[in-house]
Amino acid sequence: MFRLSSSENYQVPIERVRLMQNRVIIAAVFLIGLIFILIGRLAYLQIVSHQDFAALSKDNQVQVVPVPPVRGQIYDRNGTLLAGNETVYRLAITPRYVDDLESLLEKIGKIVPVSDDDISKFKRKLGVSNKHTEIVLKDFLSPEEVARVAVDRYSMPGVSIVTDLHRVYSSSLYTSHVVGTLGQIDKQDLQKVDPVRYRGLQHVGKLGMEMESEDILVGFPGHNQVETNAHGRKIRVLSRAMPTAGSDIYLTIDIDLQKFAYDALGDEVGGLVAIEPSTGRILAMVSKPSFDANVFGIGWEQDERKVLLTSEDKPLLNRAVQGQYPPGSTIKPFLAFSAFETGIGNRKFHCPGWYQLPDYSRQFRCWKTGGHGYIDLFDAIAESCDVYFYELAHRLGIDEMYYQLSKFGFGSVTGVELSYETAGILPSKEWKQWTKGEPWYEGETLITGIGQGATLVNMLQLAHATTIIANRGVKLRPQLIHKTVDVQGQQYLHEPDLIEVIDVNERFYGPIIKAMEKVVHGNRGTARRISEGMEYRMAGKTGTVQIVSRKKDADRMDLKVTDKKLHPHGIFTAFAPADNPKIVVAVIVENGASGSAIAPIARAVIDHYLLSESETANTKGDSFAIVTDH
Amino acid sequence: MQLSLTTSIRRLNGFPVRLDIPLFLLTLLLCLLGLAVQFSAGGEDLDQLIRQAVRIVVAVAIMLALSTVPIEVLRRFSPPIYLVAVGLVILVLAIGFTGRGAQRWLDLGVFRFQPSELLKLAIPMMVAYVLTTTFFKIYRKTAFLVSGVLVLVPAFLVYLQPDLGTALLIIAVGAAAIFFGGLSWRWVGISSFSVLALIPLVWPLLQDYQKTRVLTLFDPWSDPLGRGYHSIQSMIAIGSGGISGKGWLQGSQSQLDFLPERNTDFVFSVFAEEFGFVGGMILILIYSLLIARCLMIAYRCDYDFARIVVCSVAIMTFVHLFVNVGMVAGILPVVGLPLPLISYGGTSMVTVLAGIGLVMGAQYAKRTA
Repeated sequence: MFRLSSSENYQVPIERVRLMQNRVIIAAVFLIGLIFILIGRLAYLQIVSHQDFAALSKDNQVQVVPVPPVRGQIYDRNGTLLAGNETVYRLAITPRYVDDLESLLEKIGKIVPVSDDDISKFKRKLGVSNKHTEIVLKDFLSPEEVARVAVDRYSMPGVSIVTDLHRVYSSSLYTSHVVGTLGQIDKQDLQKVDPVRYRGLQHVGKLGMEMESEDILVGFPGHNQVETNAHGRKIRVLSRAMPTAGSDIYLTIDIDLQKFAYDALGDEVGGLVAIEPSTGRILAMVSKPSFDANVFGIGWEQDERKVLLTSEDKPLLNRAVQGQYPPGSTIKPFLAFSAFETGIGNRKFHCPGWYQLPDYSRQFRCWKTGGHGYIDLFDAIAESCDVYFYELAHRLGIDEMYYQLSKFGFGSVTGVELSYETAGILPSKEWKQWTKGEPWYEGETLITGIGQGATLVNMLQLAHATTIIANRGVKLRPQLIHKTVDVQGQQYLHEPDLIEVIDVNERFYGPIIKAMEKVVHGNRGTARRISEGMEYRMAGKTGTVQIVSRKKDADRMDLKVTDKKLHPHGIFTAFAPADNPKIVVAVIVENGASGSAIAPIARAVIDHYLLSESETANTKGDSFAIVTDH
Repeated sequence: MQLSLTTSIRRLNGFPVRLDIPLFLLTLLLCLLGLAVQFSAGGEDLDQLIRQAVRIVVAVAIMLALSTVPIEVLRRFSPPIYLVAVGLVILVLAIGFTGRGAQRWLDLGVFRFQPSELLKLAIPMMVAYVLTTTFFKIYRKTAFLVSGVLVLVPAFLVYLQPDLGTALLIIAVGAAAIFFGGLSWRWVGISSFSVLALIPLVWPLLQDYQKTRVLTLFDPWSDPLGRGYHSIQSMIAIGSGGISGKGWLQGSQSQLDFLPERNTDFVFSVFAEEFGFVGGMILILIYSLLIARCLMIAYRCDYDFARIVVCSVAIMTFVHLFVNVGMVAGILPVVGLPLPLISYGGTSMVTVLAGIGLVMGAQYAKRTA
């Protein structure tokens, strides 16, 4: 092979030099020719056709101004407005027409109050904007302020009042997590959206349904062809292409129940989901603490935003779909199906108050120190006996438990229209090997049997799973959108969405629902306190989630611990009426002490829903005061 | 080796930077004109102007630094430079495939770098290298064929980015390098003809938006508010400027937001509106002088490698000018090539000034060859 050696010391033959010099001259001639094409074109545009273009430019300047569409509104299932558009007035300045900005600002300051913050924001925008555009100085003028500015407007050239639509959330605190908020379009958004569709728009959905249904809500922009004079002043509108407003969305939420549930949670931190079992539609979805969507999304109060973003209670988190908690004893009815299917369900086990595996030194304790004695599956559910479920878990093995629980949707997303819902964790041998690189231990099987350990669920998942029991195996996708209505009034109903009928023997639903009824109505049911005066039958299950792990010798969790953050979480899931379910409710109260302690919240919500049409039951006040023991 | 070492030492003792005064002055003049138009096109934004001035300073420094590098050394480094440039283009493509959408940039934290720009210089250098080897003296045809492949492969990669404008520019510059390398007229004819013949074959492969850009060229008024908008507004700006222009900062088209991308691709429209036909002619004259000076240096040059590289830089600058002005004046489709040294942004400025730095250095080579 030849070496690609250098020719540094190589004498270039004279004929080659000639050839290359010729090439340079030929190229020069060629380029001169091309340059004359450019010159000719410019001469044509600037000399020959100058008159035409000058006319186009000076007398008939046509500007295309995008007209943003009106965003679709969001309603509850009964047509109560949750997110609407309100006209607002802003004071704007077009720098081009202003000679002395400082004195103008001073003058405006005398007419309407302008804060230093407004002015610094204005000046920042001034630095990056075109001189001919209107730059907003002050937002949200009151009608009186508009009138005052209008009177003096002609002595202040460059000042104008801009009319705009502003998003307003009428039940903000109650619905912020579901309805969501808008926010300024930022760089990341610009990569996701079609910039042509968002011309003239400043906001895009950032949370909740505002974000998830952005495509439905946003609509399509129109444009005006505006004739302007040489100074850029609008003379007249030549033609309009009207924007297409976005579609309205009717949520499945019942705002009345939503507000009631929100209030029922009081000042606690937690979440609640209520589902209509016959359709899978979500009646209420509450997360506390909440936030004011009017402030967070499009408001200007930076300080309040910061508080929301950094608060320890994470008010922006939608606990109903993002808050992941161990299910505690609420997992027991779902495992009970396996007990029946394997025949274990017909046996009684002895509960001495603790359980021990053959090769383990560790004692697994029942919440009831003295034990439940000989107990069957029904009472084990009603009284939430841990030892029974340790034994059951031990006999089933983690593989069977995983198989059984995954039928009810544990460990996977429900498919609700909130893409950021969490899937929770349903542990298995593979899961542990995959995430921790460790083998599965038998002790973990036991604690999985009482809903502790690695298992995590959110309240939507728990309500969804409970709905499957209430529906006797019919698994419907939980839905938040009831229907959408486009600008022509055409309705698009979101029909109930059947996922499957789960593979569980029908005969077992009856007994397990009976056992869950016993939780509420039985003499020793863990939620027996709430059955007082109840005019219907409720099926439910309590759960109490330890936060501080019990030490080997520790007694049962001491509720007298002064710091409330150490209290266990209380969970309760229920449906009613037991024989003809109309509503499913799953609720968690963080540090709520126990499932029985928070069960009154669920009762109040169910009472309100079932009885609201007849005589409104007196469910307010201390009827669901929190009790502090089982 | 002996030779190049002594020359570089002599240079350091004598004149540290090989400054070609005419080239330097013309370059500076263009940069200053650029700043003036930028001030107008950028809405009289001083911060933006300062950023552009900083870019000019950096690019001029690169130009001066490159002019001190002996061309013989550059020749030896041509293959590695070429390989690095192609490697970076492939890297950018790979990142683009794993990410989403078009990808032309490599984010280096401090600044973003567009590897396809590097190709604009690396390809003519590589071609010049191949066409000045002893291999070339023996197997001329094969060497030309190899050069063609060395041009087309990276051009195709750039097209995949997708950046049709830069891909075509790379082909043009590479073809120029081969032409100056002495490809016989017979083959010049054959390849030109086959390019023309290929057009109907390539047409269906173009992206839809590229097709509409070409079609819009023939009849911009068919969709004045949509696809033809850029073209029409740009022509109105240029045409309404007339012979003497509307005056600096007075262009109503430019000032009133009619012109899209008025400080990058459409900056010439602003210039032509505000300074008229006369201003446009002066600008084109300055470019012509700059290119002529490069060709003159090439003509006098005795060093083959240097001559090919210098001519290619001249052609690169010209193609930028021709395509950009042709685009804003409505005789070429809208492809995103900037106006060298005047459009806002640092990438093309560095490429062009680095190229001119090579030219300055190459001029020096003729005396020692």
